[in-house]
Amino acid sequence: MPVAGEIRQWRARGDEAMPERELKRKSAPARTESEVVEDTPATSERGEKIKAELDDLMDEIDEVLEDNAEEFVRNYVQKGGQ
Amino acid sequence: MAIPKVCGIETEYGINVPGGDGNPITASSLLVNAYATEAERRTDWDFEDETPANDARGFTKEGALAPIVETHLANTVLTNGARYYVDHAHPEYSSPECADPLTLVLYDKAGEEVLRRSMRAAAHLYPGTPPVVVYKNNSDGKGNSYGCHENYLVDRAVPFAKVAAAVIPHFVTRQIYTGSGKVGAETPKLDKAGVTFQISQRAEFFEEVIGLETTLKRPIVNTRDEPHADPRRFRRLHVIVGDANLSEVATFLKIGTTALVLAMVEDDVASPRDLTPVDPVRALHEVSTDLTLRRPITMADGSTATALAVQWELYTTARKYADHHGLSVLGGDEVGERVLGRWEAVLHGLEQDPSTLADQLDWVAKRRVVEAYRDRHGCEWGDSRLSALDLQYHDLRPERSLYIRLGMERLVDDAAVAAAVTTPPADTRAWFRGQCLARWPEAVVTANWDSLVFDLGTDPLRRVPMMDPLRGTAAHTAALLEASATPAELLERLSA
Repeated sequence: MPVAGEIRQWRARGDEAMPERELKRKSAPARTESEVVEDTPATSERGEKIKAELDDLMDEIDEVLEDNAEEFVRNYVQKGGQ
Repeated sequence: MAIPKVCGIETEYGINVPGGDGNPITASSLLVNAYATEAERRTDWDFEDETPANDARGFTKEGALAPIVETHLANTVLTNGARYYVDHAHPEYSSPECADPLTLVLYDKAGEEVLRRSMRAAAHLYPGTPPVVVYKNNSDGKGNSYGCHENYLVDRAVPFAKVAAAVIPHFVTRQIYTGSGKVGAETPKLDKAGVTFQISQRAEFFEEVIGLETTLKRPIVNTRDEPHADPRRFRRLHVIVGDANLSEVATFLKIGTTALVLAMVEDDVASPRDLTPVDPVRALHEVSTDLTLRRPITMADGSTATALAVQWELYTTARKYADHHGLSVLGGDEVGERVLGRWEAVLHGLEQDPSTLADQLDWVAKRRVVEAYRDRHGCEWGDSRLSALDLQYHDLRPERSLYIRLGMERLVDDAAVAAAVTTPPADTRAWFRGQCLARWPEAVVTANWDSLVFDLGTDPLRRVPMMDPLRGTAAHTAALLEASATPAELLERLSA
């Protein structure tokens, strides 16, 4: 082999359509210092929303949490990487 | 003149196989092979109505023992231009080269989707074997770390020492928005008993300022010189100090601000004051463990500044830089202005009240959940339920992921991410790589970052070099590819 590549390729279907990439564009919040210094209604509203969502999560979290937290944490052992 | 900041992210994922044999190389290979096998056979990824069947290559049968994994196969290049393989006992996804930070967010998220599909593919192909669970984090809480590396195209003409000096203040302090958060501490470098929560997953694993290592005595600035491009024109700055982010805002800022800092070095623009800490490694650890964001860092010149103050200084310099030089090197003024606008807003938020950023930054989001859980259940720090919460923030399974459950701000949508799993970015050489693999998988025998090798079955192997990351884009090659019915025609046109 004249060229020894380090990466082997795998075979993919060649007939996939190429969908348009679509990035959701949101304009960056152009805040000025004075706007942010005060706790604007928008900020506290958002804070309230986050807090309500957090309360909901706390109500449901036991369903999501691994059954035996101690064993789960103990057994999560990784080999070091880069 | 600064050059375009082509960028990429490589992520080593954590894996856990409850009830498995504990061999992480086997588990990682299983994921990569399962993905490659299923991706070859299907495009819809809907396994709901599937009867578990034998793999086409006969790896396994229902109820069989764990498959013998062909580890030599666990190394693939995807049609989106990414590399997906096994590295250091972890599955690793290296994104395709991207021309701007927002596109890189998209391809980083596509990587998460590749890992999710791999989990499902493995469960489908190897029924009866313990499922492999994937985590996008950087440590196991027991002193073992694995990385999430960034790469940036840098002008070779700029001396490396100058690049290193410019990035050190940024790398020490950017963690206040790029950190993924961690319950406790796990290395002798930190006072374990005194640290309840820290901003960064990775910071405490760093012991040197500059060096070549990546797995031990990790340096803040990594000197690996492997450009994967024309070495006379380019460097690839290989950044190993960052955390793996689930937050799209954090990834966007991590890449965007670092690209800006590098562009400023190339254009010889520096902040008015020297922001180099007298002891950068110590400062890195101190910033990670200071949840107040108020602790001053002692600088080499004897002055002090908080991490926030350093970031404000870098931001202000970057703002002026953008006004004079424009932001085309970030992939355009629009995306560049978005980086600056979000950078400013996040610094304001951190200054006023970090908890207002709980829907934007990983460490803030995780901290809120951990604190709320402590309040509700009255747990002490050190309770394993808090460490379990930490790990599960990073669990990629939608039904288990705390990150997904928190519904944080998105910068890219799911349809775009799904498309990015198979389609390369249009504006770098990843386009040509991915398109050739998609069109002529039999003919491409080797795909590297900077070349493709074709076997036409007649002549000697033909190598197509791609030494410039910004050539081989859709604009350069779409017409050429369309006009070529076969790889032989393509090569004929390329050499004409």
